[in-house]
Amino acid sequence: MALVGSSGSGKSTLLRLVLGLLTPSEGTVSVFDAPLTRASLPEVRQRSGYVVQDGGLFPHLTARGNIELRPRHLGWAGERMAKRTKELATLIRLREDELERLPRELSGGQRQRVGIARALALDPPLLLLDEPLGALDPLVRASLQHDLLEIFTSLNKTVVLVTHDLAEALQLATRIVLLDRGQVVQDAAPDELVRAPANDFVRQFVASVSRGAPS
Amino acid sequence: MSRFLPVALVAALALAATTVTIAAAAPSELRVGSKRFAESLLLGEIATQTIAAVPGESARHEAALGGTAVTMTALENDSIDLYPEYLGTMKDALLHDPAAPDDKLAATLAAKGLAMTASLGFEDGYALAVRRADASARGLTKLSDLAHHPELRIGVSHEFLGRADGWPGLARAYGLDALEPAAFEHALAYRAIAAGSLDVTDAYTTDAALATYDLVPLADDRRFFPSYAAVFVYRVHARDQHPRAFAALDALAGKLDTDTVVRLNRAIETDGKTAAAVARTWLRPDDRAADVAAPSFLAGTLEVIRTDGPQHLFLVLVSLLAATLVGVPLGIIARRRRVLGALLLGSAGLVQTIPSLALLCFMIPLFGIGTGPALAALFLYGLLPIARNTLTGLSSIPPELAESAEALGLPPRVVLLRVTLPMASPTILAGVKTSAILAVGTATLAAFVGAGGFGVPISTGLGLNDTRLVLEGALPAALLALVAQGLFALLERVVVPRGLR
Repeated sequence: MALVGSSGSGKSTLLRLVLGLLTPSEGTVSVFDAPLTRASLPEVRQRSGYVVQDGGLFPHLTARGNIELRPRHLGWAGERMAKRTKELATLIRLREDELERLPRELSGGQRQRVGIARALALDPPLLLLDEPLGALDPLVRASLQHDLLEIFTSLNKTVVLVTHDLAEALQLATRIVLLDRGQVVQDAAPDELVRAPANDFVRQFVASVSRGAPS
Repeated sequence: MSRFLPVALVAALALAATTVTIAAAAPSELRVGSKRFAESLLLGEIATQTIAAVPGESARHEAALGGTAVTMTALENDSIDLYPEYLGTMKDALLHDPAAPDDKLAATLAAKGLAMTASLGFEDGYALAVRRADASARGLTKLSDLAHHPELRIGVSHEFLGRADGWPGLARAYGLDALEPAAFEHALAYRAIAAGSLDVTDAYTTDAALATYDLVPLADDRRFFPSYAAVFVYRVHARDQHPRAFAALDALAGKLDTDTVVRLNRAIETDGKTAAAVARTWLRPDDRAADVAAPSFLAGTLEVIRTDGPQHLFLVLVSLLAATLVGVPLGIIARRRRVLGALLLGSAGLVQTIPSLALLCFMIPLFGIGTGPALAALFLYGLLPIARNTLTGLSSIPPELAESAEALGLPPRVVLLRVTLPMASPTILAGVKTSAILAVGTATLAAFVGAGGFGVPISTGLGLNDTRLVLEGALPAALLALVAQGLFALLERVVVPRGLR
């Protein structure tokens, strides 16, 4: 599922609400079919993976250190952890020696992929991505977009992707929620969104894609 | 931080253990105090050596303490057993009347468990002095003459300006309100009068500087100044435990006349001999070995590093360790609880504005004299830079990384130790470094409260107007600050993760 909207539409805020990084001023948040409370928060966070723009890697830890942060805290045995890290490295196409590099020694695309691997380390059922392709140049962007699609289809998880780029959403998502100033404008499958825009706002949004991205 | 702390902890504990062992080795040693001017140092040495010459007795000289407030408090708090003092000074400090009768002073002392010996044979009273040339040109011989010369520029020591038997009383007795005195460090006032930028200053009647700068004291024709006979004031309890040591001190009564004291003061102040050497020569005139000049500057500096270095290091390391152990958590709390944090950092900032010497003196009633108050004051000074930098370091973590850390769902303690503190470590370490260099400098003031360190030669040197002695303490302190700077550059490679350098 992709959350799409221009900046200020509230799409990132929605992700933060899901993870309890923000508390709603009114109403309740429901995650995994249960209301989010102080008590359920740690569990919800452990069952989610959160990736921000540029990966959100901690600069003092290597790629491996970032990926293994959570399993290590849960007391995973060395063997199990090494196996899991190897699986994830294969998934994100990172070489063994690149795992030992610091974030600043990796390329932007690699950092983003390591961020995804860190989020996936505990094999959570829910993956939340906030503008994962935002900080990349167009070439890397295209190739990573391809990688993401591959990763998403192989995982069979609920993935919520926040993006301002409808073209990206159309390519990656099976369901698109269009937001405008905090309100859901349309919630539909990609082809339905293009075929039957709910109102003028959606129509303009779709039109801008076909103009801006002729592919 | 986690890798730095064990190393520092071990070093500090080892030093602490050594110090405690030294302190515990001589339980019955008598502790002789003195203030930081030549005559007090001399009398302190005379007492120390006299006691040490008694079989079975030993004494330690807590030399060059800050002033009457420090020595009196130290005596009352059982931090020293005796020190040389003057009748008028004690009457002023305890009775607020320097001319009070002797029996009233004795009764007040007795109430505090203190007593004093008979006079050593001389008085070190206050006088006002002028240049000899001025005295003859203007016909100045006595204090009442000053009232006719309102054009004279007068500079007196801070102590003289403040005490009842000093300037306020004198001005009233002689009608000198037209003269407005400037306050000077005593040793500097002599230089100023010699250089001609002052005309009148306060002086002590046994002061070697009178001869050195060719000054004449003005006669006290209205008998304003009270008696300043020199005595030893002591704890009665110490006398009960060491009767033979005190019998030897009693035997010194009447042995020191004014001329002798002026000559001995001169040997220290002008000839640059140590108080210990001058005292030894006077006590045992036949012992030629004592009559050697002070060692060379280099030898003196090395000796200072050897004798005062370990204590200076101890003061800096222990206070720094404590400030780090308290300051870092304080910064963490300040990050989480804004109001509490502002309050904590505000009070730490308030402490920072108290002059270090004043803070040291505030600590005396709580910790006595010596290492205790110095450590407490240095700790309080070190707290703010560390707590503030911890807060700054944690606050300047980019918000998306802070949120990523929070979203991991790990316990706050784990996030702090594994993620946020390491990311803040360069800033925290910079704060510890600031505190360390601050502590190296401030610890030189610890000598004023008898805590030792490189401040000992500085404090004594200031009291004796001996620039060389001041440098013998100041130079090692400056070197230590440089060494600290270098050590922190190395420490940064150990503590700060590679990814943040």
